[in-house]
Amino acid sequence: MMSTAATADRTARPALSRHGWLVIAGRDCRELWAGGRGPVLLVGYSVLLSCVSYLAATNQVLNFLEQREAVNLTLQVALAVGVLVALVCAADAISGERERGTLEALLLTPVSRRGVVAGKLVAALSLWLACWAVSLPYLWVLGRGVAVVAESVLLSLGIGTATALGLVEVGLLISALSDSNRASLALSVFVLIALSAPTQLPTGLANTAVGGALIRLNPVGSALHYVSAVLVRGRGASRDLSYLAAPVLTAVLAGAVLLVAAPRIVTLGAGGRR
Amino acid sequence: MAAVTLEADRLTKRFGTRAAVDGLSFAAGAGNIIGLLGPNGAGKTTAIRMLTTMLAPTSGSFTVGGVPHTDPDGIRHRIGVLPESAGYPPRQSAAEYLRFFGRLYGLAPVDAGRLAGPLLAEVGLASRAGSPIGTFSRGMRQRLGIARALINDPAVVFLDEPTLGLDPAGQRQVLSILRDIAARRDATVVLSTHLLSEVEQLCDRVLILDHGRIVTDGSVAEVLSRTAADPHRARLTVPDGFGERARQAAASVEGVQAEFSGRRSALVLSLNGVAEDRLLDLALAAVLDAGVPVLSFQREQTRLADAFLALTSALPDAVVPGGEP
Amino acid sequence: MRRRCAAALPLLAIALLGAALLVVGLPGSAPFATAAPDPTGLTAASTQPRLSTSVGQHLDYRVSIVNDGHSATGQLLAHLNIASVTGGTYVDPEDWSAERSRFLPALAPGAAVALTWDVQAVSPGTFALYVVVLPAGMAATPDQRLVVSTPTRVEVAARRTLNAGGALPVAVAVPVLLGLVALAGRGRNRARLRR
Repeated sequence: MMSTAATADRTARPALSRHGWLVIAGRDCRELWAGGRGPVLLVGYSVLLSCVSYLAATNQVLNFLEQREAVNLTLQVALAVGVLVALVCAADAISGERERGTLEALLLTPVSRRGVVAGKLVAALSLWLACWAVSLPYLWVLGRGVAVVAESVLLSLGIGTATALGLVEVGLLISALSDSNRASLALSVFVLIALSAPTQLPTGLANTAVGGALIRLNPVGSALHYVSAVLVRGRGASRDLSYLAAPVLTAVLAGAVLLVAAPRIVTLGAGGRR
Repeated sequence: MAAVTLEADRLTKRFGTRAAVDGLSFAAGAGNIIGLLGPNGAGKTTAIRMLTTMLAPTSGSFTVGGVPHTDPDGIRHRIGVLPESAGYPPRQSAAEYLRFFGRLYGLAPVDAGRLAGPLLAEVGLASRAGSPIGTFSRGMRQRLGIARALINDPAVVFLDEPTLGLDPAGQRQVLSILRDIAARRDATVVLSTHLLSEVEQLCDRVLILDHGRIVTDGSVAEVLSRTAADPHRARLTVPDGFGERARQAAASVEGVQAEFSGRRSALVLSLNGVAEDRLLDLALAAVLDAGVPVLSFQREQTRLADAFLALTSALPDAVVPGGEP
Repeated sequence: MRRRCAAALPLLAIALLGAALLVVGLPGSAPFATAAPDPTGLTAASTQPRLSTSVGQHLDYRVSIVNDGHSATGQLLAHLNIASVTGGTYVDPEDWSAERSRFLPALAPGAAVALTWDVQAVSPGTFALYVVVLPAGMAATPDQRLVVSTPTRVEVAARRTLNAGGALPVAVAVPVLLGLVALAGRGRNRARLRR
């Protein structure tokens, strides 16, 4: 018998396993950041923001762009791409472990399925928060002098985090239900592209009832619309609050579905099939 | 039998209309090593997944250390599992890996850290505690998986094909560790394997599964005695060119049948309805008297492989090193 | 009494003519105050006589269209326009507002509709924003006149554009720093794997 160190007793049930989600979050964050995947994604993200911010600041065709618009353009790219990166990380979280054969060992521990999901959610959100932190110097350099730096930083943190939370939860659901990691990643990217599509609607169509509804129902489109309305059009933060319903509702609903369904869908086979 | 640690009662799992496991009932005590044997699709992995709470049974019940199957969290505290084809994070070190799982079982970080060293020593990996798992051979990974399965000092340890893909030295090392686990930790070991020799060497009890049902259950000796109905035989090998003369000499002994086995220099001698082993010795003497040099003479006995084939209807896909299945 | 009235009539006529000339002749003030009423009773007016902003800023331009006549109108088309009143400034209205034409339903007698255009100030200077209302199907009523809103005077101040020089160091430094951190991490992982 083991006598050299403390072990989990054969008969007693240790109390700490309820903090298993924190242990999983810590392990996944270490793998993401110390393993090199997170830093590489951040380098790509920063290169993209560098290009966008430099073009916004220099392009003669856009020269009539006011600074607020330049900040808004950079912020929109930062938010959309940051959320995409977090979504892709979430899409890999469960299906990836399943494919690498490491999920079974995790599920055999006393940590609940909800705990496993919560840990992975925290790790994926850490990627969004890192993206947000990387966007700060760009927002500062473009927005200083017109008093929009603080506004844009707070907007991106609040709205970006709500949007990222909702989409990370959607990504985890997709990951749990997908047969393969490739299918999970492809479906998640498709979801984000589909959600970004209404932002490209022609102005005329966007102003129709259908176009308006499409933007309001879409968590990404409505979040970007709200940011533009506050930052560029100078509308008060409360005037277009209804546009925040979609990202907030997505986060709440997807979170509730995960909470209820996690014990059944976080299994060895996709969606509880095995 | 020692105190019962694992008990299954008519455990059944159906996938649609197909029964992967059908009415599995058995009990095992502390320190027992149980071998789960069966061809592919016999239901071994499904049985292990049910007993380890990864799959909910369609009907029936089981207990682990007295904890009923309706309390999967409680069962997971009492079992250790090495799944088939387990994956490992390549960048984590062996010690970090065990610390992580120790913490998932509720150990404080310091205690989990202290536990990693002795466990790695137990499976012969103490010198590689700080090495990333990505640098480990398959055998080392399997031993690390066994160490992980022991992190909560389990009452029952389940191992699904633990020696699959290992070289003979690796296999021997893993089997020796399993023997130690049963003896020193007084844990029940449930071993699912294709390798019949492993069961013969290691298990004090064998369950042969076929189409989800137990076709036989008992010690290796008991299983052999139930299937020892074949006539005793011997294999004889002579130099090329002496085959026919050897066959005639052997067949001249009344009650002995001699047939070529593939090559004309290899013969199988069998008793023709007479259960007298000495007739085989007489046949050998007749061959020698006929001036035939004998290269080898080997008596055959009923082995677990024969029992396995006799009891399972499927084509044999079991691997018996050093012999025919 | 009749003689007094007769003597007063030319004076009244001269006064009215003078007032009319005064109204028409004053540059700037009169056109920005009222619009000629349409015989059908349709009027268009902005409640914002003056707006001030700077280049790049967005502003909401609001116009109210009222049917003061006794009969319903047909379907209408309201079209936003902009002109430089100081001259010398090139104006492309499409740059200022992406959606200049709005189709309106028929207006019953006494009905009104309020319209808002999102306008972005593209160039510095002084401009007049106004809306023309015309029947949606011109062929149906070829004799109908256009109705023009009261114009709004928009003063657009010049503003400095972005400083590209300030953005360059950040655009270069951030990826380089992050790249160095990523490389250092990768190197450490490789060294660990080799050990």
